[in-house]
Order: sequence, then structure tokens, then C-alpha cells
Amino acid sequence: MSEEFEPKIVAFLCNWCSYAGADLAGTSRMQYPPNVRIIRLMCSGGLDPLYVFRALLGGCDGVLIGGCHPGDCHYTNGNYKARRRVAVLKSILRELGIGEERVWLRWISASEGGRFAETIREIVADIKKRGPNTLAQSWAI
Amino acid sequence: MNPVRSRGFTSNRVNCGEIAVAIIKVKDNNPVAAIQELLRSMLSQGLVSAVLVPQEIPSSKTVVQTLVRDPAKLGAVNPLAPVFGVNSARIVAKMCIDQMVQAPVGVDEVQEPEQEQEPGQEQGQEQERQAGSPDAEDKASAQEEGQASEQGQDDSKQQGPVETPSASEQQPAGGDGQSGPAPIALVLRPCEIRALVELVKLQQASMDPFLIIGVDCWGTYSVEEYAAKAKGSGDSSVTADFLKQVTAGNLPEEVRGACRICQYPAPTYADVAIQLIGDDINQQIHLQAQSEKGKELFAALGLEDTPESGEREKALAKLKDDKKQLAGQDQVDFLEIISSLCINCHNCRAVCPICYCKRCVFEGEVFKYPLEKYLNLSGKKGFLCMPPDKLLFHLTRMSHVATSCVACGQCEAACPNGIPLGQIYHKISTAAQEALGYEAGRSLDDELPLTTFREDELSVVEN
Repeated sequence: MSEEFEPKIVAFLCNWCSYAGADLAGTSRMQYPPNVRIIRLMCSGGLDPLYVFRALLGGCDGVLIGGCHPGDCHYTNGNYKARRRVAVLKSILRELGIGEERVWLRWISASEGGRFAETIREIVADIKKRGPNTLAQSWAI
Repeated sequence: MNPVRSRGFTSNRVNCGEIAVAIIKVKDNNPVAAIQELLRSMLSQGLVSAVLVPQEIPSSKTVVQTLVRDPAKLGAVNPLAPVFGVNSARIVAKMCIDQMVQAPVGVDEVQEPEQEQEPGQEQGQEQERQAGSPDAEDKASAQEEGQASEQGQDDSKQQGPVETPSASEQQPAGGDGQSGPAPIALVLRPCEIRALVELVKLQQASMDPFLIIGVDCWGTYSVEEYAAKAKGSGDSSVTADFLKQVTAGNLPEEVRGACRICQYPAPTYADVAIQLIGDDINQQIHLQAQSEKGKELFAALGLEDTPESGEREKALAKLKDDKKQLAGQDQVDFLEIISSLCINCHNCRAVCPICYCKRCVFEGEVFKYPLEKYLNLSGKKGFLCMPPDKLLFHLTRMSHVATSCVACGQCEAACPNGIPLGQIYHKISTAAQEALGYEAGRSLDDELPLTTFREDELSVVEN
């Protein structure tokens, strides 16, 4: 491997907290790896597992789901429901043995630009260690 | 908090404090005839207005669900036939489509063009139904049922999901016109009841118009297997032969994969459970009332309370244990199997009792690709497995149904290429339900796991 592997990360961020957190990281000129593609959702509770599967099968190497901290959801409890949905999603990936560890769920508030930048650094380092997502190369896709 | 209960159409069942048990005698070593007799007396005494029950069709050597109103037409009924062509929870959901608070809009839209020939009256009825629905929430349940069952009969004529004996079609539902019609008895397997419980919670069905009669189930053959066996010997001997084997403790090799690992041989949420496991079914059958409705039925039929036999618990435990040994014996490579065998026909979705969406996301515009997209996709790794999105479809369907899946295995039966979906879904639904501390079909009182939450849970899935 002469060229370093640069993972592609897709981040599903909620409008009210995590997306604003990412925005803050940008406006504060915090440095973080450019490997992330952000998709804004109105709420982490609006995440259909389909989005995550499509990202993973489409060749992205990691998925971040960002929502408000527990208790802070703009819609009262969407993030709690997202957490349950992610639990189902992860248990399916685990049972089938296809990349449970590539899906991250993290709470990032609108004021936590630093935490967003740190999260992206962490994911990119972790995925670089794991290597590319081979799922997209499988016959089935 | 419970969204189902607040909408006011859950079952009016009340779990009875003490369980009532009764015995019916079996004559001529024929348990099927004893169950026929039980249904016949219920129907002829007007305790139920109709019975949904599997019936043998001699010409085609198979068993299908039928809705029987005439007590004389129960002679070919066979709820013990070891074959499972459809998960009847789907049929029941269709039967009570107008029982729901909000009549599903899609159905009316589809029917309207067909009704052009008979305008005025029919449209008036449609409006009445829609206008009447919100009121029905507040009305006494008797009135609601009365209004509903007339329409119910209407529907069954138009859509014909179940057979109705022609002789009794003219009679109004219930017949006697007293305090609302008698309930419709549903003779169901444990997995059908469990699927129905989930559908009620998903607001796709109601238990109110029904009396649920659950039947113990050792397992079933596939429709093909059953037909092959019946071809040689006839329906009743397939059943008799099957019962002989399973009561001796041998599960035939040919039993469907999903049934071989099923942990729910006994109905747990019925009004009346027909208990066969652990009984000498050539002599007697135990009946258990699992709700107040069931107890009332016992009283009306004059059945005497009898002590439960201790044998049943032992026999059930052994059966479950035997089946547990079989679970997870064959490991499958999911990716390999999907890529080689799936043709994206979506049959598994069509027969699934839990997949209830009016329009599946996979039928939407998002999955209709322009030609250029196919070129892009196949350019990614040099080729594209066609048709595309097979794996995406299965993963998504899994994530949508995993929490309510009752592992009935109909998806496997419907697969034209024999993908062992029953086993795969058993595995992933067990994992998903364990993760959320939920058991599909256990009770109407457990809230759907994806509509509720606890603040302090699942920190393990956070990163």
C-alpha cells in the first residue's frame, strides 16, 4: 500500500444539534480530516436504517449518526428512538457479520464544535486502522 | 402513553385471574372430528357467527383457510393438517379493514373506479363509513360491531380474500339482531396469533370482532411437501400419520425449517387454546380459556372445569428443548446466498404478515434508476450484480420487521429459489428483540419497541 487509504465517511447529522455543531467547528476554523460527507436530517429520529445500509453498500467506509444529547432533542425524544433503531441496525449487522463496527452513534450539541472535530478525527483514525469497507466489493452488490 | 390503547381499538380481552380448563372427548381415535364437533356446536348455538378455519379441498389435495357460516359445512374442516399456506394474520387484517378508527384511504381509492356502475348508494355508504369512523371510537362497542360487520360482509364480497358459503350470504351478520353479532371464531396457529398481536399493535388489525381459538402446533410441511404426501394417501391420513409421529416424539424430517426451530408450539394469547401436546389425543383434548371471552364460551357450552394434567408442561418443555437443539445447526453465508439465489422478486415481502406498508419504499421513485446510474454503479467495481439492490432490500426489510417478526417462515416458503430466510430471520429477529428487551406477539400490553424508549438504556450502542 504505497498510497495511504483515505476513508469516506458519511455523517447523518440532526439539524438542531450535531449539524450546528459541525457548523461551529467550521466557523471556528477547527481542523479535522476532510473525509466526511455530511447529510442533514431534521432529527436523528428520522433516520431510516435504509440510509445507513445504502451508504455502506454504496462503498462508504464508515457512517456517523449524530444527534442531540439525551434530554435535549428538539422534538423531545427523537434521539432516544434513534438509539433504539440503531440498536436494531447494529444487531442485524452483527448477526450477519457485516460491519457493525463501521456505524457510529454519537451525541454532539450545537455548542460542541470541538467534539464534532474530535469525533471525525477518531472515526477516520479508527477506519484507517480497519481498512476499506469490503462490503461494496462483494458479489451481492 | 400506549398509542394503541389511546386510539381505542385494542382487544377488549381481559386476562382471567384463574385459568379454566375443560376436556372434550375424542371418539374413534379421531381428534379432528372432535374439534369439528366443538366448532359445530359453537356455530349452531349462535355463540359465534362464523368460523375462519382451514378446510380440506379433496380435489387439489391441500388445505386452505375458509370462513364457514353453515354448521353443515364443517365436515372437511381440519385445523390439525400439518400445512401452512398463508399466515392468517394477513387475512384477519384484511377482514377488519373497516374496523379501524381510520379506514385506510388507499383501499377506498382503489375500489372507487370499480363502483362506477352503481353510483349513488355506494358512494353514500363510503362517505358514511368515513364520517362514521371517528364517532365509532366513542360509541359502545356493540354498536360499533353491528355497524362494522355489515360492512365487513360487504367487503368480503368485493375483495373475496376468503370463501363465504353462498347459502348464508343473504343473512345479515349475527342473524339474531340482539346485542350485536356474535364474534367470528378464528382458528389460528400460535405464530398466526403472535403475528396478529403485532398487527393490532401496529394498528393494522383489531381483535374485537373475533374469538381466537389457538391450536397447538408441532410444525408444518411446506405446501409442496404436503401435496406430495396427500397425493399418495389423502388429506386425513397425512394428518393422522403426522399426529402419530409427533405424539410419539418424532418430528418428521420434512417439517419446514422455521417450524423445526420454533419455540412457540403452544398458543399463548388466545381466548381458547386447544391443547394437544402432552394429551392422549385419541382419547381426549384439553381446552384452556385464556381470557374472559373464553371462559364465557365454556359456560355457554356447558363445559366443566377440570384440573390441568401435569404431563403437558413436561411434554412442552421437551418439545421446545428438542427444537432448540436444531436452531443454528446450519450456518449460512448470507451475502453469498443473497447474491447467488435472490432474484429481487419481493415475494418474501408479499407474504410477510408484518410487512404491512401500503407502498413499499422499494417501489418508490428512489429505486427507479436512469440508465446512466446503472453505468455508474457497474463502473464502481467493473460489474454490477443484476437486478441491483438485492442485499439492500433484504437488509432494509430486516431492519423494518425485525422487532415484530414472529419467525413464521412464510418468507422462506414464498421464495422461488429456496433461500433459507426462515432461519436467517429467526436469527436476526431474536437478536434485535433481545437488544430491546421485547418479545414479538407476547402481549398487547408490551409497547412496540420502536415507539417507546427508556432514558437509561442502550449506552452500549453509543460511540
